[in-house]
Amino acid sequence: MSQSQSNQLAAVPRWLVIVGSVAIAGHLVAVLAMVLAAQSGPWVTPMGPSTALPPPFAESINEFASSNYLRWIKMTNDYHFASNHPAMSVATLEVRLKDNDGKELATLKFPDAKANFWVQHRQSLLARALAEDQPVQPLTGEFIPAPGRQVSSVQIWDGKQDLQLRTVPEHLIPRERPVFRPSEWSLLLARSYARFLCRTQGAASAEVIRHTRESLSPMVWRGFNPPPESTEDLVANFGDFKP
Amino acid sequence: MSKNRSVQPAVKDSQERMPRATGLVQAWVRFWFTPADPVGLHAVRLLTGLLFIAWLLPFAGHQDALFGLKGWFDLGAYKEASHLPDGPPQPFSWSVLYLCGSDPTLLAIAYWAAIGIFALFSLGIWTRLTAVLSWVMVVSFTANPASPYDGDALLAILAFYLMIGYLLLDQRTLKQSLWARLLGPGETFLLGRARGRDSLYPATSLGANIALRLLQVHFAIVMVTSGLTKLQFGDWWTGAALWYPLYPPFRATLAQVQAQTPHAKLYMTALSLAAYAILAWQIVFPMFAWKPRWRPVLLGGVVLGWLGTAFIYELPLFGPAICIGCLSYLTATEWHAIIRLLARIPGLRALSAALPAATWEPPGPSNRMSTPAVLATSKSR
Repeated sequence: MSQSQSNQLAAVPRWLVIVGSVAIAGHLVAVLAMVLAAQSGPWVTPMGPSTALPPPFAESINEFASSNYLRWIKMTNDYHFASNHPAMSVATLEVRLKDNDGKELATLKFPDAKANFWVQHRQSLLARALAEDQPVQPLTGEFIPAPGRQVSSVQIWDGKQDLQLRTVPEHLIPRERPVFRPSEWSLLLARSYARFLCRTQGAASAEVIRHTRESLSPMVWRGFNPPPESTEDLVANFGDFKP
Repeated sequence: MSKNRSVQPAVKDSQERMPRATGLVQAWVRFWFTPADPVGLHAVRLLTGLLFIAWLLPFAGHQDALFGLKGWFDLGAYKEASHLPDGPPQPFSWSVLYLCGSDPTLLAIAYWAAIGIFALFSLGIWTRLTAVLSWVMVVSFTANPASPYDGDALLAILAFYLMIGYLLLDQRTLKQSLWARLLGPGETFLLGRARGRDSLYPATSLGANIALRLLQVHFAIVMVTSGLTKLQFGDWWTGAALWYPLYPPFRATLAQVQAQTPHAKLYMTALSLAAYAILAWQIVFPMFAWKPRWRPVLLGGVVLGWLGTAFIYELPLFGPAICIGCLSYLTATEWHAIIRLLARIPGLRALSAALPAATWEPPGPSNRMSTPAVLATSKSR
């Protein structure tokens, strides 16, 4: 250590070094626990692809630190950035505005080509938030409800390239193909977007439609041609919403 | 030499007062608690303030839609989200924008106030106050749960540690006025004024060092985590990760991709090399970030990364935010060298105020000494 450094360090009171060290270490432990407490994967397992749980020590620290500290200083990001995913899904949004008679007033598309780049980027994030579909596991065997009770049902995407939301009893979920449904969060967002656009555009209802398309794979260069439908838009209609 | 001899008793005294620390403890204390020239903190603040303005200003006219409670994510959505069985993807927290309710006028006032605060902060005016307000505004305007963006997290990091830095800066100076203690020392305009004998404040600041160290360590955690996360995807291992942003789904057609097939091998070789360079840069980031001799790797990497995220990934914010994070590793000596170079540009002469008086020489053929030589001269003086 140089003499000037020693002099400068000497000027720092010992109590400050101790208190400061505790604060710094506590803060960094909280940040590290948040990073480690993120789920990882999906990894290949004997049961199929699955995300891995975080290590228990990090989870325990994070449970306390996240809700009591990091949440208030707004540092709850675990830095497992979505943009690290190379073939990240891209989505656009189409909204058909209608009057009280169900007559179409206008069709809006987002990202809005007339908006500036930064606004378009935010709109693309809004659209992408609708693309978080979740797999639906079909029930094995037959399902008989208790006397006087209804069979529980679930909303699923139905169709091939033009998906519509359909409510089906859980025991009738198709088993011959992978089945997906929009997440509760996506449905909530679709309703909110519809309310916003109806308010600002003076419409009575809004039909929210999501467009997604799969990324082309570099395997194309090795002669593997993707199926024709994967180069077309996958259109998912969330339905009509009234504010 | 005589100067060194004269300080020896003080050093001996200080060593007796300091804890008898060796090894890791000593390294810890030296790393965190050596007061530093605040020029690095001021430079990072200036750049970060400009970034905050560049981030928020393009949303002018869209603030109701993007940030208001009658916008894309409205009050009804907040209420619904609180009843979701699994809760929202990110826990809701506070935002001063909630105080505006659904009043567009109040929201517009908050929006333009934020721009004004960022401008004052960037200039270095009332930094103690504007640092806190800047952090409050940054985290409030990034609170919308419908459009979470990874780059926003980097803004929050920069704002938080700069706030810590300016809250602590020069608080140990006893002779300052109450206003200076509340609003901040008056020597922080732009890159700050060089602190000589006539200055009220010491030449180095413990707060500046702690803030920059926290920023550096947190930023290193972000870089390594991001690099390791990439390893969860097979496309990074195969080196094909950069292929996808070059052929975005809605714009690239199969015919366009197939037309490139004759150059596929060369193309994929270059892309895989670039992908592995990114992985290596991020994962071993802490091994070179603090070493001045590795500056070309740190700064060269971040400039290439900025260009890549802007033009290939079309991700705004990431590049400049990461660039500022990397610049936080520069030492005061390096900042002085940069300021000296910038001060030669017509119109930027005012920056030279940040240089220690002994090291500043007017530009001219007879004074074109190399940076180490200039610093050596100033030391000997």
